This record gives sequence, structure tokens and C-alpha cells, in this order.
Amino acid sequence: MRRLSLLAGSVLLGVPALTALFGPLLAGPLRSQARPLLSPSPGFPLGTDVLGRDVLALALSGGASLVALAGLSLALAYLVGVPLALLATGRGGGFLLRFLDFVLALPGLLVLLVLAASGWRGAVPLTAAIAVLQLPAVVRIVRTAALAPGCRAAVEAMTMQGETWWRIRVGYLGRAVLGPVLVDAGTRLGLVLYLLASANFLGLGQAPSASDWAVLVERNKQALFLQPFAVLVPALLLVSLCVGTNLLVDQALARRNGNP
Amino acid sequence: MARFALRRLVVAACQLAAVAVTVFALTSVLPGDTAVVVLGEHATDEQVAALRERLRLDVPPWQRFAEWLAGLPRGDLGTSLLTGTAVSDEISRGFATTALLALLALAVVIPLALAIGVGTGLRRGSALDRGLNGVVVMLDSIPEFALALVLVALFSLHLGWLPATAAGASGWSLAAEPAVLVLPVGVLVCKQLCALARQVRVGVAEADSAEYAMHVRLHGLPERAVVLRHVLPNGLAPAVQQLARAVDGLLGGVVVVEAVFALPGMGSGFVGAVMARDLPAVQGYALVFAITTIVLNLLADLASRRLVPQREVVA
Amino acid sequence: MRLDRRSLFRGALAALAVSSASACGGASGSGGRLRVAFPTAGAKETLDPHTSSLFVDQARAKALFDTLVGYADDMSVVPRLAESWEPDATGTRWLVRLRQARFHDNRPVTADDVLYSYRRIADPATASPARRQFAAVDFAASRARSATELELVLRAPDFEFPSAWGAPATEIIPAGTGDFAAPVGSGPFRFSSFQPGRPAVFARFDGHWSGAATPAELEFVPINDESARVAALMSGQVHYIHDVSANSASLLRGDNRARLLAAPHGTMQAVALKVDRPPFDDPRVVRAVLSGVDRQALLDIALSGHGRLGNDLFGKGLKYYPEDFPQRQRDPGLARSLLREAGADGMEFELLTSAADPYFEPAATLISQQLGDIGLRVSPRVGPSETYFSDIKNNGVAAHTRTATLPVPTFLAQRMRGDAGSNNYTGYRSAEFDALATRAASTADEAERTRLLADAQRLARDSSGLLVWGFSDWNVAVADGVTGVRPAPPNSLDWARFDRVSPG
Repeated sequence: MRRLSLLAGSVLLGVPALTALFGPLLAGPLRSQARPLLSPSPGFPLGTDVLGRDVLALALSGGASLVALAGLSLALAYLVGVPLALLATGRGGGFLLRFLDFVLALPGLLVLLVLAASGWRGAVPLTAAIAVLQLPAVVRIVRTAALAPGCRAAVEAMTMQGETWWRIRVGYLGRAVLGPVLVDAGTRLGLVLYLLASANFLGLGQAPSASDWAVLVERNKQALFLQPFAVLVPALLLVSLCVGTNLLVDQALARRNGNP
Repeated sequence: MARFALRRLVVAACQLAAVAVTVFALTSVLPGDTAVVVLGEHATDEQVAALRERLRLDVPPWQRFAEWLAGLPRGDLGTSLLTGTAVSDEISRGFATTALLALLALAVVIPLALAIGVGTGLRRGSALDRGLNGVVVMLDSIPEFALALVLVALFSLHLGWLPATAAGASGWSLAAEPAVLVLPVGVLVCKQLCALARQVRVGVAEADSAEYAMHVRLHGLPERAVVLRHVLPNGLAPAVQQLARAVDGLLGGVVVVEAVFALPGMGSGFVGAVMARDLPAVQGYALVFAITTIVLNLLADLASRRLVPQREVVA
Repeated sequence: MRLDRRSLFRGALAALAVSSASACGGASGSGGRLRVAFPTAGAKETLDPHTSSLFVDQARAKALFDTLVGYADDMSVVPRLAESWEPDATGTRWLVRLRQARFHDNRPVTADDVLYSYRRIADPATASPARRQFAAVDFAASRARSATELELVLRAPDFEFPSAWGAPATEIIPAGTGDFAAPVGSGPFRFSSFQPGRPAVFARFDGHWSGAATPAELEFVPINDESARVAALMSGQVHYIHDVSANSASLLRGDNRARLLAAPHGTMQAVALKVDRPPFDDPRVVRAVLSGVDRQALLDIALSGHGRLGNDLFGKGLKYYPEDFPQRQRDPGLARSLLREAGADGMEFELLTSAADPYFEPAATLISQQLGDIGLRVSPRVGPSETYFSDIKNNGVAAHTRTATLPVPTFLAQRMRGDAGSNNYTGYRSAEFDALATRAASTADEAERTRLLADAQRLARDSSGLLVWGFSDWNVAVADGVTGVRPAPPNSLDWARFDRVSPG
């Protein structure tokens, strides 16, 4: 069973990951070259999208930027969020949490719109903004996990044994919260992927003509029933990316927890 | 507990004030104003000037903000620049739709997520676990609009079992037409289930395999008691935070679902207000969202305290 | 949505589907009520016809009120409340005779009501979009000769003045009206109920001068999302949906539950090149861009073929549109040599675009690609849709724009003349063009007027900086069985007209 699901997870993650990595090398031209929403034909094995572009070429080339942007945003959110959360388990954490609650209460749409209007339209500010918008939720979940009684008992014991702050915080707690963090990251991946696409429609991040999978899904929205491939192919790659990632997360955690 | 709650209440007031000021500042720096939005594409300059004057957009922003603040104690959120009606009326109408959707979705999501999370967490590694996890993640990662459109195509257009859109109905009156709500609630459940069920699952799995659980098992406590008394309280704490986020998300309005099913709720109301630079309405919505977020966080923290009685780790 | 009826489920579930369709509160069970769905997003929802700016406002105004004249499909005028009219020899004094018509409260429609309405429109405080059309009226000299005879006096001659009486937001309201919570008009439907953001319900007005309307009730249902409108129509929740995209149009064509009605020449799709600033203040650069764009490819791809080819002029298919000008063809060789001559090889510029119109973004992508072939580096930049049309008035050098059908002389006067202000999106200033337009307006002879307007348009076509690449169809759709709707361009009399529609 475990082998099988490891295999399933690897394949599900592997297909979009390999596509993202090597697809751009194989992709044909990305320009509009045919009528829009053509059904699959020998010339266009997956048909064309709303702009008359080859869906196959788009799907092959649209993963790299997306995976990179989403991965960077998430990595940034957790690189900042986990230490903050562990810090927030100690004294003075209350203030930090209240500040993050304030960030959480700010409407994301407004923040992204202001970003778009103020000229910060590139990929870097967008990545940072998305990471900041995820930060409060990340901190809350990680902190709560670190405060679980099981953890606490161990922390207290370690403190009494005279372990250093550093070893307790990073060595023990860091590992203890790994489960909730990984699960949270896995489910947050989908959220961030589609957030990137919405941001694109506000004029943020990549050019509107980008072949990014999430952007493709959004752009071909109206064609769902006319030329399903234009929506389903990028959507399936996204779904596969999410499901594969989450299955592998489970796999990694199962190794830690052992089966009952 | 009472002191804790009181202190948080004071802090909450400060947070709300900060949100109000920030939202005001953010909205003010957006280009364009209500006059140009209302008048549309071919408005003349003098038309825009006339409307600006009528809407009092020529009054300095800080003065309008001060007036808005002054109205707050009376529960007056100001008048929408766009519709000319009281912002509080507008919000309460959207809120009814949103709250109804949220309540129904939660009524399904919470028990379902608990069942899936606990079931798979205790039987981790089983075929059931893998299968259910795959399904909930998949439902979550399917684009929301595609899920909604496919459900509409199947159940409304093809089978004719359910109405395709709310078609004009809104607010509490929707409760009288439950059929309208089935598909939107279904989509919301699919989107919210994943994060919650998986957070329950990992919490339960970690707690179940932790040393103390082994310990109480060795003491011969019946499995049922181990799970109910030790595994669940420990495992559910992160899930409670996730639940707060889910409720927050649902009450903040669900833009895609509202659009596809023509349900005018908080999400589309807020987006419309922002796009129209309707400052009083934007402020009103943001305030309501902020209150929701802060109250939910407070509740989540209180719940965590119950699960984890002492406040801070000794360090 | 394209689920064929022949499918697997059909036989087994047909009975169930039929029984539940009526249980859904569908339109089928609503008797004489016609339900029409419109997008309403961003509307300042009011029933004041003189401040209406969105299509839904205009459609509601059309149901509740009447105008003096209406526009035929080619934007020539046809009589409505005005039975007949004639100008004096100078074109500054117009005599209008009204027909016998009544308001919903049984008061007759009089010349005083018309004067009151036009005064209100011309008042800057009303902020009416139609104000410019009445800016030249001398209200001090204008008067009601009798209850049904009206004399309108202009400060400058205008033989196209009757166009103003049919423009959007020029409906006739009873003299003294200032509140529109429950408005009284003379239109085919009476006000029943309405709240901003909610459905509006109107009832048939039996005393309408053209006879009572067919449907007993008319309900405007707000549905902003286009896919939701299509779904509502196909599932029988509404009878009529306004504004259908090219993609949904393709879907509806293959479905027997609905009928697509496409009006050709609905909306001009164009790019405004600002000729009052670099780089387009150099006419060679403008001509290079005009010859570098492949209009046929834009029509085929951005409009999915649902439209007509543009020839850098507004108003294809309308009265006064010069059909005999040769079609502008793509000529990359010419474009490149013009650019070289102007020293603009490899020039970069931003092309403003937004989701304000579904065709802008695909067109922007294509145009940047096409101009890339002649050595220009064009980067599309997406702006916020709600403020887009005001943002592009002064910002940037090139922007997508569109205009729905209106009379050609109105367009020339309000969007291309030097005194058109910021609505002249390209910043075109030409004394020669202005003189031709003025002469045309003061020319009584229609053939001569047509010639002068053609001359003005020839001039504008080469130098105004307006790159008209196409005209998108104007699509609406009705449920199968609905009769009495025909495809008609926006702003025309038969557009969004529901008094002769039968729900079927």
C-alpha cells in the first residue's frame, strides 16, 4: 500500500514537475497562429486556446514560471512564518500576533490593487505580497501546533534538563511542528496558485499573455465547454501538482509517525 | 479568563482603528474616483466635475474620514457614493446572503471534515486514508469556476434538478428557496473541506503517535478513551485555527461562487465597492471583515486555551 | 453547457427533469411576466433616465419613458413622441409637433414637459451624459407654441439636431419631476417596484400611445456574470439575456434551448494612438502602425470571426459612413520603411488595455505580436477596468477603446473635433476637420452634407490616430419560443425593447 501511494504521489507530482522543468525545451512557438478554440488536430494535438495559440506548447511552457513563483511565495511565507510563530510561543508573542491579526484583517484585493496602481507590478513584489498575505495564517497554525500539550510537556522537561533555548526552539519544536506546517503548505499551494492567476488579471506579475497554467485556466474560462482541452489540460496539471505534493507530504509524515 | 477577554477587547479596538485608517489610505491612493466610474466611458470633464461636487469628492479626504468616524458611534457607516443608500443597509443585505451560504456550508463541512480527518488520521496509511485524501485535495485544487460550471451544466442544464442561478433572489428570502442554495453550498464545501480535514488528520496522527499517547495506552486505558481524552484535544488545536480561517473566508464573501450563481453577497459587494472607489462602502465592508477576523481569532484562541489551558510556554 | 439532449441520461430522466423544471420557479410558470437579465455591476442604480450611463439603466428607461425620436439600425431618426418636425432655412429654429400621448398618471405629454426635460438635461448640475447634445439650445428663446407644438432655438445651425432627441438619456419626463423613487413616464411599462441592486418590476401601461404592450409584466433581473446569464437562460429562469460574449455565442448557436440574436456592427473596436505626443505626433509612425496591423487576423482570432472588418473609421453600416473608401490592408514593407524614415526602428511603447471589454486583452496580445513583426516592441499593460476609460483619457500613448453605435455626425462632433475635450481620446486637433464638420452641420442639403462628412472622415482616417480594427457583433439571446425580439445595435429603437415581446 505504502509503495503504491508513494508511486502515485511521485507520478502525480512528477508529471507537472518534469513538464515545468523540461517542457519549455520541447514547446513549439507560443504565438497566435490559428483560429481560436480549434479542436485537437494533427497540427495542434490539444487544439488552440482563446488566442489561437497551441495548447500543447502552452502547457509545456507554462509550468516553470508558475512553479517558481508559487514555490518562492510559499518558501518565503514559511521561512519568515515558522520562526515568527516559534518566537510567538514565548513572552511578547502576543503583540506580534495582534499585529498579524491586523494584517489578516486587511483585504487582500485592496493590497494587490494598490500594488498594481503604484507601479510595483513585477514578479518580485508580487511574490513578496503573496507571502505577506499568507503569513498571519501560517503563524497562527504553526504557533498553535507548537503549543499543543504534548509539545509543551516535552519543552518543559527539556527546559528543566537545562537544554538551550536554541535547541528547544529549533531542534525540538521545529521538528514537532513539521507535520502541521507541511500539511498547511500542501493545502496552501492550491490557494497560492490561483491567487497568482487572479493577480495577473489585476495587472500584476507576468504579462497577460503569459502561458502560466493558472493564467491559462482563467483566460480560457469561457471556453470550458467549447474547447475543454484549453482549460482542462492546464487545470489537470495543477490538480496533479497539488494532489502529488500532498500525497508525498503524507508519505513523509507517515514515515515519522509510523502506522498504528 | 475574564481579564484575558477584556484585554483582548481593548486590543481589538486598536486593531479595528488600524484597519480603518489603513484601508482608508489604501483606497485613497487608488487612481480614479467614484465620479468617473459612475459616469462611464464617455463622460465629459464638466460632467465629472459636477458629479464630484455632488458626491463631495472635492472635500479633503481627511475631512471625509473624520466625518465617517464621527458617525460610527451612532452605528452610521455613511452613505454609499454609488447607490446613495445607507452603507449599513447595503452591507446587511449582502451579509444575509453570505451568512446563509456560510452557515449551510459549515453545517456540512465541520462534521464531514471531522469524520474524514479523524478517520484517516487514526487509520493513516490505509487505502481509505490515501483515497479520501486524494479526493479532498483534488476537489480543492480544481479551479472553483470550473467546478461550479460543471455542476451547473450537469444538475441544472442537463438533468434539470436544480436551478442554475439565484436569478434575482437574495438575502434571507433565499432560505425559502433551498434548491437555489444546493449547488453553491456544494462548491463551497468542496473548497473548504480539504484544508480542514487534512489539518484534523495530521493533528490526530501526530497526537496518536506521540509518546504520551503510547504512555496512556500502556497504562491500559481503553482505545476509545485514549482517542477522546488525549488524542483529539491535542490534535484539534491547529484545526481550530484552520476552522477560524475557513469561517473567515466564507463570511468574507466568496467572489467566484457569488458570481457564477448570481448571489449578491459580501464578496461581490466589496469588490464592487473597491472597483467603484466607493470609499464609505469600502470602509464599511473592511470594518465588518476586520471585526469578523478579529472575533474569530479571539474565539479560536479561547478554544485553544481550553484545549491547552495554560497560556504560555515557560521558556 | 453543450450537453446534447441525445445523451445517455435522457430517456431515464426526462420525466423527472420536466417535473422539476417547473419546480425551480422557472420563467415558464410565471404567466405573462417577461424576465430579462442584464449585468448591473458598477451601476449607480437609479431610475433617473437623464443620468443613465449603463445599458441596463437605458433599458429600464426605455421601458418607463419615451423619447421624441428613436434610432433605426443605421442611426437615422424615426418618429416616436414627435410626430413630425421641420427646421427653418438656417437650421437654427426647429418646430416639433407632438403626438397625442399620456403619462402613466393620465396627464397628457405636452411641449412644456419636453422643454422641462431638455432644460434638465442641459443643466450641468444634472451631470447628464446627453448634456453636450443640448449645449447649443437657447432655452430663453425656445418655447411651447401650444400643448403639442414646440419651438427649439439653437445658437448655431445644426441640420442633424433631431439626432439629439433620440440619444440615450434624453427621455421625456413630466414637468417638475425631481424624484425618481417611483417614476412616472409615458413608456409602455409602469413602475411597480425597484430597489438598487435588486430586480426591477414594471407593469404594462394600457394607455400607451402605440397600444398596450404584449407582456403583462416586465422584470429586470440583475445577473452580472456572463456565464451565469447564459446558464439562467438555458435553464429557463429568464427569457432574455443581454450582452453575450463571442464564445458563449458559439455555444448558444449549438443549443436548441436558446436563440442567439447578433446585431452586426454593434461596437467599434479600436486603438487610440495619441497624436498629440511622441511618438505618434509623427504621422509616419502613426501610418506605420496603421499598416502594420493585420485586421483580418484580429477579426478572426480576437472576435472569433463574430464581427466586421474595420477601416479606421467609426460607424460601419451606419448612415453617413463612407463605404467606398478602400479597405486598409496590412503592408509590413511599407510599415518598416516608414519607421526607418521616422527613425523609429525598434521603438518601444506600452499599449493600455483592460478587462473592461472582453475583446481588449486578446486584441492587445495580437497587436503586440503583429507590430513585433515590423520591428516595434509593444508591451500590453492591463489597467483596472472600472476606471479604465477615464485613465486612458490623459495617460499613455496608445490604448484600446470602443464605442457602441451612435449617429456618425454625433461621433465626429463629440469624439474627434478639437473642442471635444478629453473625449477625443487620440488628442486629434485639426482646423480643417473642424471646419468641414461645422460646414456639414449647417448644410441643409442632405447629399451635400453627406459629401462634406465623407471629406471630414477621409481626413480623420489618415491622421486622427484612431486605429479601428473591427466591429464586434452585439449579441443578446432569448429562450426558445420567445418572439418579438430582433437583433438590433445598441442605442437603436429596437435594442432592449420589450413592449412587443411574447414570453412564448
